[in-house]
Formats: sequence, C-alpha cells, structure tokens
Amino acid sequence: MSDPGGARSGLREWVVNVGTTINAGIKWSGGLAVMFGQAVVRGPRRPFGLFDISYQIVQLGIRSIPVTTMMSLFVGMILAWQFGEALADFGAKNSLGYVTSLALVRELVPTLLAVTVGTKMATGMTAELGSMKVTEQIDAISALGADPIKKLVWPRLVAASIAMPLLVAWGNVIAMLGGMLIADTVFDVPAGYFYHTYIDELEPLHYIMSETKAVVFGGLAGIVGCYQGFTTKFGTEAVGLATTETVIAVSVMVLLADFALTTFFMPIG
Amino acid sequence: MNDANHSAVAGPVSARSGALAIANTSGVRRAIGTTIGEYHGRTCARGEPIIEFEQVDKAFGPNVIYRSMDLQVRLGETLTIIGGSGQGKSVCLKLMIGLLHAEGGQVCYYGEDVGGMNAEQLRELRMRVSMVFQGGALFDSMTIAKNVGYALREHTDMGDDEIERRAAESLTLVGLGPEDYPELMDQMPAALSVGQRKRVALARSIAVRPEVILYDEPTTGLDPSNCNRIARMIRKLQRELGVTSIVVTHDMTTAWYVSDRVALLHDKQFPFVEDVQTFRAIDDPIVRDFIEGRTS
Repeated sequence: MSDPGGARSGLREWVVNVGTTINAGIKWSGGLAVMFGQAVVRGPRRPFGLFDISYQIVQLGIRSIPVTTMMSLFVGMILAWQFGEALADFGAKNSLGYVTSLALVRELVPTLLAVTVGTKMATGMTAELGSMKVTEQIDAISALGADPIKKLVWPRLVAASIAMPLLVAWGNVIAMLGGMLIADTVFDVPAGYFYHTYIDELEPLHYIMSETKAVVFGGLAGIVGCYQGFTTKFGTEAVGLATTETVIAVSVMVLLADFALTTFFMPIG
Repeated sequence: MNDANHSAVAGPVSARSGALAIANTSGVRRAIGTTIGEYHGRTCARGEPIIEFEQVDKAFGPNVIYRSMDLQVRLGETLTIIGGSGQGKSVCLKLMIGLLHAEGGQVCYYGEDVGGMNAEQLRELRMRVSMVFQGGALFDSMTIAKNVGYALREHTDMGDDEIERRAAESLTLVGLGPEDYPELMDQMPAALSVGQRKRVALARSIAVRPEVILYDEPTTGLDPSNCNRIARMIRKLQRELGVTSIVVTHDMTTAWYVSDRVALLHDKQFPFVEDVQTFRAIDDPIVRDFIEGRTS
C-alpha cells in the first residue's frame, strides 16, 4: 500500500523545488536587466572609453575570425550537400543556390555563430570578470572612485554587439563559398550559376534579418557574460561554475531570441 | 565636528601637527581638491570623530554580522579592528566607503550618511577614503605604473608624465621607488612577490593623497620582516601624510605597533574600544583569550 504522507511530502518538495527554480530564474533575469539598464545609462557618458571598446573588439572579434571562418565554411558545405542530395532525387539540383541561401543567411549562420562564437565570447568575459571579482579587483575599481559597469561592462557589451554582426557578415560570405564548392564539385552545378541563384533569392530584408539577429545575439552574449562574471561567488571553483552556466544561459537565450526575432521578421519578409 | 564658521573660531587647523600642514600642501592633494579635516564646509579637528557607525545592522541572508553596532573613528588616529575570522571585520571597512550598505542605522562621514550618498558623492568619498585590499587587488592587465596612477587618470586632468611622476613618488613612499627598483614601474603585477604587491596596493591607495586609508589585513600571508616593513609603513604614512588609518588584522604584533586605539569585534558589536595601553590591560576573558590566542 502506498504511503499518502510520503507522497504528499514528495509533492511538496517537488513544488518547492519548482518554485525555487522559478524564483532564481526571475531574480537572474531581473539582475541581467538591471545591469543592462545601468550599462546603457552610464556607458555613453564621457569619457566614452573608445580605447577600451576597440581593445575588446580586437579581443572578441578579430580573434574569432578563424573559428568563424571554419564554422561557416563547413555549415555551408554540409547544408549544400544535404539539400543537394534531396534536390537531385527530383532533378532539381540547379535550385541548390535558391534553397541554401535563405536557410544560411536568415538562420543558420547567425544562430550557429551565436551559439559557438557568442558563447566563446561570453565565457571569456565570465572567466575574466569572475577572476577579477574573486580577487576583489572589481571592488578595487569602485574603491578608487571609478564605475565598474562603465569600465568593464559597457566596453564588452558594445564590442560584442559590433563584433558579432561583422563576424556574421563574414560568415555569410564564407558559407556561400562553402556551398558553392560542394555545388560545383559534388553536384556539377557551376559555381557562377550557384552564385547567381544564391544572390538572386536574397532580398535586403534577409540581410537586415541576419544582421539584426547578430546584433541581438552579440548583445546577449555580452551582457550574460558580464553578469555571470559580476555575480560569481567567491572561490576559484565558483569561476568554473559561473563559466559553465554561461554556456547554457547564452545558448538558451540565443535560441529564445532567435524564435522571437523569426516570429517578428517572418510576416514582413 | 564643527561647522566651518565655528572651526575658524576654534582654530582646529592651528591645532594640527606639522605633518598635517605638510600633507595639505601636497600637489596631488591640491589636484584632487581634498583637504584634511574639511569636507563640504564641515570641519573636523584632530581627535574628533570623522567616521561614525550609529546602531548599524548588517546581515548576509540569515548570517547576522552587526546588530546595533556603534563605533567612532577619530581624525588622525590609527584604529585597529581585531576579531575572529569570518566575524565581519572587512565588512566594517566596506561599509565605510559604501561598497556595502547597512540594513539599519547609519555610517556617517563628517556627519553625512554614506548609505544615502548618490554615485557622485560616493566617488568623492572614495577619493578621500581609500582602501588597501587583502590580496592587493592590483589590476592584472595593467603595469605597476598604470595601477598606481589609475585614480589620478580617472579623476584629474593631469598629463601622463605628471601621473607617472606622482606614481613614482607614491612608490618611493612605500620603498619601491624607481631609484631602488628601476624596472618595477613597467612590470605587471604577476611578476611581483606578495609583499611587493601589497606595497604597490598601498602606493595606489595613497596616490590620491586620501584623508583616510582602510587596510584590510595588510600583513596576512607575509613573512615577519615584511610584516614589520608594512607596519612601519602604516606609521610612516600617518606621520608624513597625516592620514587617519583603520587597520583590520589578526596580527597582534602589528596591532600593538601601529595602533592608537584597538577595537575588538565580538558578538556583532565592538564592546571593547580603548587606547593600546588600556586595551592591553583589560582583564575581561574575551579580550585576554583573543590577545593571548587561547581557545578556551
């Protein structure tokens, strides 16, 4: 016979756990929003910190070009191959450019780069700022009369929001070249023909959609990375934990934002 | 503490030591605009309370740190705060410069509630009250010269050469001047020993010629000779710059050497705050146990 007291206690524990998780999620989102608000309000004040922003663009953007190039090339090649196989069955392999362009530019390149390169940016920020928090360097900035949000968060937020669209633009070109390579070598679709059909399918709104997603994803990576760093608990283990949580947080938030932006753009595109 | 008009009559400035007069003529002090014993038209004579904790309550979640805590820090003195680990000695320092906020009561600087200060007021406060963190908290990505000159770059319109000269002066005050250590200013913090890092942190905090310096465990992790060096430096800075010092430490040798008064944190309050001689003579078992390191 089952024990109703035990079941009630188990149910209560489950409800408490769910409540605690929801509560923690709300607090986390609230903290993130507050930090974003503080950065947007305090960041643009003089001095603008252009050196710090450009330094971060180099750190986050330029150093991510190799991984962006590799990711985009292979995404372009894989997608072209997959679509090519299916289209060949219907004798429609000449449409390969039409089919791959929309998927790559509107969706795959910005999202995959956000999940990989964006996560790399965010975890780097979390580890760096988390270490600064643990060694009291963030407190030291405050104690010296400076504003850690303006000094540390604002340059990273702006740099990530600038670097990500540039990387996505580059990634779009490389992904097209990857698709072109497979189209020409595997499916005998001439590279020039693939290029014309690829470009022909795209409209300005598709580029805007791609770049808007990149700006949002870059901003999300920046703010999540900084927030996780600033809220790191004490101890070196905490830095590792915060970094791991950043990977999950950025991935989930990018997918949620992607869905929201797709919902917004699809009716007008 | 007096209003400016009263102080002119009482003449607290003339009552200050020669060291204070020298400190007030410092170029950096002029550049920053800080004056010892004067803040927003209020004055404080030597020996009068400059920082006051009034019925302060502080807790981190269920962990209560202070309950109705009172403490006064007097202008020009070195007050040492002692107490067991994890009892909240460092919290006391962070409350003084608004890095943490009290849940109840007030922490006042020249009678102004630190908890009620806006960002600009806090910035001004932190130029007058600087803190030396336990591990130094030097910025890893900056050279020693940039670390020491950080606040000057942030808050003054001094040129790079002038800031570097001021940084060199501050480093000389802590015994790490360019004459003795010609390479040091261009080195990164990671290249320094723990003792040197603490001294650079001290140089960084005095670069703005503050009125008050807060030392969070300045001798922890150092060998006896470095402990002695830091303790002598705290005394020297008080003498030469006229600063008020609040030192949090476990090291009783340092405490006896640097202090004018000693405060023992016990049971979320400071029940014993006395000058060194009186404190050492206290017969209460709580004080005796702590001083003598007894575990009873």
